[in-house]
Amino acid sequence: MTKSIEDILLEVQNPGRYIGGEFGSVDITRPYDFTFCLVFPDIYEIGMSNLGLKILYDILNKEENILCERAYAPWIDMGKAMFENNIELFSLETKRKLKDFDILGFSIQYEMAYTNILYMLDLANIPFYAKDRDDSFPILFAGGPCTANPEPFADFFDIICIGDGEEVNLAVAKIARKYRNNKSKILEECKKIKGVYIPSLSKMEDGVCIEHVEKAVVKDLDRVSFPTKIIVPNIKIVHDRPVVELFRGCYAGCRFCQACFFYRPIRVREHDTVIDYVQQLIKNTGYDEVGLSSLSTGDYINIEDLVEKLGDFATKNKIRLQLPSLRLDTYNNKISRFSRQSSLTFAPEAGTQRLRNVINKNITDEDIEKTIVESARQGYRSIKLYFMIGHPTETEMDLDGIAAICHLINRKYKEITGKRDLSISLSAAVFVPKPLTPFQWVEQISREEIDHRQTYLRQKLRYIKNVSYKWHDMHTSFIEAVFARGDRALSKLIVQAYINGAKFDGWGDQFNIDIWENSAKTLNISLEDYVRERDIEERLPWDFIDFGVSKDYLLKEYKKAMNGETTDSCMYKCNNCGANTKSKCRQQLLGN
Amino acid sequence: MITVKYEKVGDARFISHLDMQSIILRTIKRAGLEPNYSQGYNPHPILKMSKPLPLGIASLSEYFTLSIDNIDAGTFIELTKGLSPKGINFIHAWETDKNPNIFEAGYLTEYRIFFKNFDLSLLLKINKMIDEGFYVEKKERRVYVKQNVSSLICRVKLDNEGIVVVLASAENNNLRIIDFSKGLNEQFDLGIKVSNLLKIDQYTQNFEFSLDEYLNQI
Repeated sequence: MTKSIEDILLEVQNPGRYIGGEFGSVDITRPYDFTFCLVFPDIYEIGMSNLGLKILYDILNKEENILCERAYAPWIDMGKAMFENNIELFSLETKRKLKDFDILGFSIQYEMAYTNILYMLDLANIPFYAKDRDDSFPILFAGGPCTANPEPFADFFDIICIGDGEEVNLAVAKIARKYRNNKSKILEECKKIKGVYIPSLSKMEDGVCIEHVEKAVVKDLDRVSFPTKIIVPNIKIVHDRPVVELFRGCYAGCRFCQACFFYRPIRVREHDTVIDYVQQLIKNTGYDEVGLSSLSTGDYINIEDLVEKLGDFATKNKIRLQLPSLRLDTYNNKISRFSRQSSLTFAPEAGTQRLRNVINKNITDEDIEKTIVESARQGYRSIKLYFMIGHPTETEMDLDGIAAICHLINRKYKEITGKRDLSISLSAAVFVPKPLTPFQWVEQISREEIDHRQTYLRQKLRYIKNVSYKWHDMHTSFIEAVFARGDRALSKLIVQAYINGAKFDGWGDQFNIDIWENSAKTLNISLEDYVRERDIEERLPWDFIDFGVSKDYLLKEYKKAMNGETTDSCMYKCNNCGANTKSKCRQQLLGN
Repeated sequence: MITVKYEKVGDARFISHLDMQSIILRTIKRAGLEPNYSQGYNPHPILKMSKPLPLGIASLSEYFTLSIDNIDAGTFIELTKGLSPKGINFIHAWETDKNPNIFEAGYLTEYRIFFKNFDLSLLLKINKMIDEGFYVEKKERRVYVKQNVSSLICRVKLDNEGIVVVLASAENNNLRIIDFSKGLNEQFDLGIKVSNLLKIDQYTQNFEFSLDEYLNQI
């Protein structure tokens, strides 16, 4: 006997994920004739923390005649029950089946979410491949940071937005509404929009796309729509607070970091705009905490002034200001004093100055010392440190350097406080070469070597009693690396792996490397081939995209890295990466 | 101090008791109201809730008490109207000088079981069973034990929507509606589900007052 959704909700974890009805969600009684569903391929608690979806939800629902809803991946227990009881995936607001929407817009944040795209399509009874869907199915649209290299999932989507989504999503929705049920016309018209990539209409050569696509860039963050009325979840989510984006892009230029280059040119929101948004968000949501976000918050122009101005408001209204992504070299008490955190988080990323120069993480040992002294004086007794293993040119000496940093921190802490009660939580990710970075040509070290280095570091840290060390699973990082620089041939691998049981691969307890290796073997795909070093003359799968940041610049940075040379932050002097060909960069600094 | 009666209906019945506290506080803040905070290193709003409602059961009779100054009951309800999630509605409020201790005051709880095929003969059978011994599995010290809970069933009535039952709900002396329904299902094969259950009222000991009457008096 099949069960109803109500029966199932009583049997699954956290049923509040699936009910909608949150304060701030769209009024479904207003007139509309076009439906758009924002789809996030992970659970509610993670999807609801995503700022991009909040922005798009607001923009689309402000548009007359469009109703925008949401759908998140049901957790394993719910998905299983839905399959067993023939319940198709539905939206949160109206409980409409995903199949009945005009457009489904997927936000793809992470390579390990690719199988979840198929999981959700499977639950929705929608064919995986774009070529298998006729006009009776919704248009499938993708966006998010993984569009820096969309090729592994390009075959599943009709339209892909590369770059900023605010203007593109609305433009695509308007065209789809105008030419409803005529997919070929919709694709033809959408292709003309800057930032839109239509995989099915793109020229290919030797399996690589050669169609020129220019990234979409929002020119002015103060003018583009930003939501000051957002959905307030009914359950606890991962980042349970409203967020105001301070600026987009990053000055630092760390060579492993895709986000830095993907989100350039750097566009900054003015102080007054930020303050206004913070005040409205607190008033409209009832939250007692707000986040000021960016890739490197300490680099926001006059951040101390901003915090000072917000400080009175925060104190009077008992609000906490959260400033994540503070770099070691920009941290100080004036910035952090309104956020009551239990620990501070920093990311040196490499253990020695030499290696930090290679990756262009311009942080010195003196910066580390100064920050520890400052934080010890403020009373912090818990520090989180992020490192990465497997950087190009890394040796065991660099791993020794990680342990040396822990010793330095302990020494300085004791000097200031006289105590030994500091707790250090150290996490080491595995380096994954990403597209649109100076390291996009570099190999990922073998899993055997990753294992060796993780073990080596574990041994080194074992005798530092106050350090708890966590390391990323090497197999997950390996698959991430496969897809990061993958091509169209990988779409069938995603399908095969999903059929073989892969989903929620970003979750440690769900990921199974055997599924991937067996799937690759079945399809005669060499996974190792995708993580190899790339020739600088080789055409890369994402070369067809004009990001602004030029390939020549990335190559120049790569060569500097191999020579151990650094490049200064572009905060005070433009390094001519090419991003400002798309839009004015650092406009406030230029006085424009 | 303000004590508020609210309902939790529709899909809101799948929101946990813990999450309800955040929902209530954020609703109040959206109304521009500022609760009083506790002292200490980690101050938090002073909010007391009535007994937790099991997940999945809708209710017309939930309460919380909030320490807050300079606001009367009517204005509180007016200001918070339309600011809560779907299915959570603040219905009425009372100003009290002291904490009415809602958690303890709700000694008896009344539920409606929506069921189409109830008739007088079934009611008689249920009452007979109660007289002779109504056995359900109750959790005692982490173990489920079959117990006679007749003394915890205070009233069973029949109406055209189903039955209305009042069960003991004191902290150490209570019978959950889910266990009562399970007992009925086992004995009479009625197929009652959680979605058939609705909490409709609460009473002080011996049916002296409904909680609304009790709050009117304080």
